[in-house]
Amino acid sequence: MESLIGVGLVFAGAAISAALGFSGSAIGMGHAGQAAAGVLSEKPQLFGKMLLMQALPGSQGIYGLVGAFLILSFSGILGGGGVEAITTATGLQYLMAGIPIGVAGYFSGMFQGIVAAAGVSMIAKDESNMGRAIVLSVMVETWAIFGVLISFILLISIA
Amino acid sequence: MAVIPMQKVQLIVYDQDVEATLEVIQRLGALEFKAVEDLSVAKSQKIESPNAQLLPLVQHAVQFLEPYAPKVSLWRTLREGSVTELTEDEIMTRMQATDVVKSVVTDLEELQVEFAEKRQIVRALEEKKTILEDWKELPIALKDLSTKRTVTRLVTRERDSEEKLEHQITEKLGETELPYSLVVISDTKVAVTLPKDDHSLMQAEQWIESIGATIISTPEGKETPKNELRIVEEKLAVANDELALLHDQAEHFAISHYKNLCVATEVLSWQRDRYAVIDSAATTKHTTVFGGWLDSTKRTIIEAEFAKVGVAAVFVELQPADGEEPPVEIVNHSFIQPFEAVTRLYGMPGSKDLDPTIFLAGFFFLFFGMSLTDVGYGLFLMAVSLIILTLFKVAPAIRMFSKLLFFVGLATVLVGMLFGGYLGIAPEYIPDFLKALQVYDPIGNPLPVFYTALGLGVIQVMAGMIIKIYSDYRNGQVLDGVLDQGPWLFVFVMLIVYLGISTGYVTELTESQAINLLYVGVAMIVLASMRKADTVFGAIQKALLSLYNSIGYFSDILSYSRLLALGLATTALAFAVNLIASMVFDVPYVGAILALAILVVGHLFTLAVNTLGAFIHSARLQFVEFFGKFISGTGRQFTPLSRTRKYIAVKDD
Repeated sequence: MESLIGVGLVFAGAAISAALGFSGSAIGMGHAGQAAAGVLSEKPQLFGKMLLMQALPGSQGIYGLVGAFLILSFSGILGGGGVEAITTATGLQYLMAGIPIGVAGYFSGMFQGIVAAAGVSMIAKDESNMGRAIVLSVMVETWAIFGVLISFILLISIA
Repeated sequence: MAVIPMQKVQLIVYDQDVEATLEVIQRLGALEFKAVEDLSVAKSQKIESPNAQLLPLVQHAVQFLEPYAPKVSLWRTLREGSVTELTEDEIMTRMQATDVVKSVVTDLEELQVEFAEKRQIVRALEEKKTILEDWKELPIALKDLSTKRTVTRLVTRERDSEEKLEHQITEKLGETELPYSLVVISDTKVAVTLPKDDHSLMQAEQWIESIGATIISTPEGKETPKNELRIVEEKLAVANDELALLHDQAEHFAISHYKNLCVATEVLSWQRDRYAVIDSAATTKHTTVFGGWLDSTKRTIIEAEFAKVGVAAVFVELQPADGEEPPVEIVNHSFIQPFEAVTRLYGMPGSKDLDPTIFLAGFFFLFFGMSLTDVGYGLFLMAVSLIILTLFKVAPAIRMFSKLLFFVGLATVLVGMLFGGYLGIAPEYIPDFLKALQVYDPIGNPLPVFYTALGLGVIQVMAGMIIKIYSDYRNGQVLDGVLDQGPWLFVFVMLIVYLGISTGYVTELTESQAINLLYVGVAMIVLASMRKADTVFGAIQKALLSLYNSIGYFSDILSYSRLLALGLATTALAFAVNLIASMVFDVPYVGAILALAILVVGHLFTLAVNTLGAFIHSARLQFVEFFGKFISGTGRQFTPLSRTRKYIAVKDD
């Protein structure tokens, strides 16, 4: 029973990491995609650049996926073995490890999408603004990366 | 393999040779024109292209004929290409044969007018037919709808009320003393006959409209609607036959002239572009002076061509003004050239920057492979690329993209072998000799892949710093390059050494020695950054900012963890497709067909989605994490006077 609760908590940690990351990216890509579609109706030749701008807030979903796999791998669920040793306390630690990456991914994905949408307008006015638009958008992503970092540190700190 | 050096020049041409000179310049596509401002000579008069009036007519003709152009199968278009191949001599002949084009366009204009008139007639007849069909039960002849003493109005209403229209009108007109009579066609259609008196008529019409009914305009004619309908149908049939005949004529026209008109559009557009640059020139008594930026690698070829054609034109080199940035174009060895697509997606580097293409090519190749990690998908991409390159005649841009596809397909095959990815097939079904090649197990043990991805990030970030030193060296700022990047490189190396000591791979240094050296590196970073400050406060600020850069490097490297996630996503999706297919395989009779369909559609979908993801994210790692280290700005794309080609491909004489 103890082990079952532990495994459940590990699953919850992986689920938080993945689901919040995916949601943040979905919202962010939605914002950027909406702006990009508006620009493409006037300037279809910018498709490549617009696609890249829309893809930028997709990183948080990817980090969420990385986080989920790392949680499942560290806990021993992936690759087999060690599942019996997951106590409730250990499971709770894995659950906590999933929170930074998930929550930071959700909010940074959402706001990166808003900045990417503004960047899309910059590029629509002048294509040579591409580099600047990317940099501004990626600044928001920094916090999702710190989420990955803290989650990773928490994972390697689990006894 | 670099950013092309640009020369700011003036091109001085003897007036009579302007057309021939511009023709050479446009053919070689090597000079971006800009207005001549600083000359004490007169600005040139606006000279219109001799065919300025003809071009829009030809463009309109092409647009009109496009729907009637002979349909060519996709296979034939791919095999034979969609452009017309012409030699330079043939292009010249087309340029001079404007009389033929004019006569074709005039004939076509007549056809267009006939078309418009006939379409108008058909539309009017169709509208009349619709009204007559609605009122075909009306027993009154159309000529009797307006007599000496009465007028009959045809009233209709949408089916939005339970009450019959007849009752509504009776009720409304019954309140007045106005004489009227009704002929009821249906619940929503009534013919109302009223006295022919302007005031009463206007009042009655207002009342009718007040109950939400509409008075429709009476169709012209003499007979009853039923008989008129028959006449209109006969007229409509004749008009449609005539329209079909015109349609046939347009198709014949398209077969004979569509391709030639397309070619004419292109040739005339080139001429228009040549004349447009004359507006930006200045003139002396006998010469025209153009200004602009010249691709200096083509200067000798242009001058040789001037001599060959026999035109009097010379380049004079100028010094760019302070802060004036030349436009940027890049050129690479044919082997690296396909990767220019990635650089161009970002935009041109600054005019003093290095062309990043050669540096990113290897990383992009590797990162794409790591993002897709499947031998089957890689082979498919290579096969598609080889088919396009060997069997099809496609535009140069598509050809270049196909080459890139071949490279990234190859990367996917090679990395796929290391990751054991074979269309998501479970390891137990993989032959032993292929299993022996596998180094990583991304699903069972993702950590080594994670560390490899971060390791590649460290390598690329360090490569970016080294390239920055080289870039600064080329711009005469080698000291800045070494002092800005050197300490960071030292810190990165010491961190790697420290990691080596911790894992037992490095034994030459102790852990404490490595940490002390790391402190030395940090001190070097702080001291190097302080050199740019003028005040003590400024120095402290610079020192703090330089240390803050560590956060940037850190987040850059962690960003490479996406390589693990993208590779995992491909493997997981491919595995899921196989699982679903295996589940339906046991369905009686149709199981095998269903499973095959799921496998084909599922894997094609997975391939498409993950190839797009692999491309975008591999490119992003270059743009954000790599370019940021050594590209200082975004350059303005070089836009020379050139031949824009949509319909014509030039072949050798």
